[in-house]
Amino acid sequence: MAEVNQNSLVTNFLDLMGGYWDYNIPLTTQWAVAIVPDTYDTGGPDALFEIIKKYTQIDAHNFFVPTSVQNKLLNDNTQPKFDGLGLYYAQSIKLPKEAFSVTGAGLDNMGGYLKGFVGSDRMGVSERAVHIDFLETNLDFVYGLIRPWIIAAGYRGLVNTGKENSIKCTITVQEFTRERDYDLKPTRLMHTFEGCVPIDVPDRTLKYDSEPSEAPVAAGVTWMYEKYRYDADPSNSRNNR
Amino acid sequence: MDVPNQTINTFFNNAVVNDFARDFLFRVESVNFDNGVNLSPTDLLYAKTAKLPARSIMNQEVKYAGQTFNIPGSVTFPGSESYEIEMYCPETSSVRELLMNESTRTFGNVFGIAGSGQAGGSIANANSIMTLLQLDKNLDVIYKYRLIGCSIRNVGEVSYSMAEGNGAVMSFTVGIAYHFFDRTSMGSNIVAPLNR
Repeated sequence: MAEVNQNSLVTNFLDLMGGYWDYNIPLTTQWAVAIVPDTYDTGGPDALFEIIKKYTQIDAHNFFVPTSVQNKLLNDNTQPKFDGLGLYYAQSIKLPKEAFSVTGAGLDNMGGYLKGFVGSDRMGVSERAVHIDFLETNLDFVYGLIRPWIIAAGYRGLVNTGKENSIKCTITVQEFTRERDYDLKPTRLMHTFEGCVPIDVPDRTLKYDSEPSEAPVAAGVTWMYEKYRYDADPSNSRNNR
Repeated sequence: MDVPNQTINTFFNNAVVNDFARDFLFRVESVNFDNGVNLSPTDLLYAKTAKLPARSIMNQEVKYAGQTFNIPGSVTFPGSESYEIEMYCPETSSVRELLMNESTRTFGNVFGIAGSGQAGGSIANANSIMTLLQLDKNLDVIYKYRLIGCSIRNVGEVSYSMAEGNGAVMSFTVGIAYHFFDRTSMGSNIVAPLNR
């Protein structure tokens, strides 16, 4: 372990950053996301589709996602390590902010006195959202699952009716980092969002232009969530990787 | 402080023992496009020049107190979007036409059909492999590089000169993209590749 030199800002910074795993700069590309339906434990990966189908029958024939396609969207190839949906398709994720509003309290015409602070509401529902970009594939994850899911949730509503009939899911994001001791790829942060439902997919534009230099991505599928937690204890999350 | 053991004499003694890598001790052994064209060692006798590919760690700058610290990031493979091989052109243009067929298979402009691969579609999978061999002076393979996920990008032009030509041998350049590479050491007493 490097010895910290207290007399120099620069060498102290270097010693801390380079000599201690805890102060290393993390990698930002090493992460994985799992989307696990509430129904997964009792009904497996197909159970959510069955619920979605019940509600989307109202819009019969407006879209068609046969069972064979569902199975291909949700098989072991697309979720190689976690029990979840969309692990393979996720390209980027925007984790939500945390905030609450603050108002000033006091009287008018206070002269040179500053008003006091009063804490108010935590962030509104519209700000409580996770955004995930999905890779577009021939059997498209967004068209195959997310859009029907949104429509079904629109009919079904968001009232909790128990896990077995739930239309919600849990989104887990693991952030990995550099090697630590014997660990090849330790988790440094783990975010868990519970009670998630997709509520918005963006529109698309098809053009007769040259093929883009990057693979097509369905930008910004928005998920609302009921609550979230995170595990920032590497020694603990190491065991969950 | 002693001068390190880097004198003319030690350089000479080491050079006698270890020799040097020579620019001709390199071969492109095979190029296999999954479900498409495969170039054999015989086809690739016409390879004139090729490069041992590079591997690059992205740099991340961290600033503190006016000092910039350079932190290692993730990996890129420079030139992987089009690895170039310069090839002689046989009189029948056989190698070039094979590569043209692969280009057309990858995307056919007449019907807009993108070619077939093992998994369907023209996206290069792990079975599309180009193999490069680094040789010693006994022509024994010392390192094998496998470029994984090859797919064709560019089949270069051939410049003829009908009026003023002097019979020069024609050549062309082919560009082949790949995703990444792995390495295998084939000899003894050489550095073992770290593949992980």
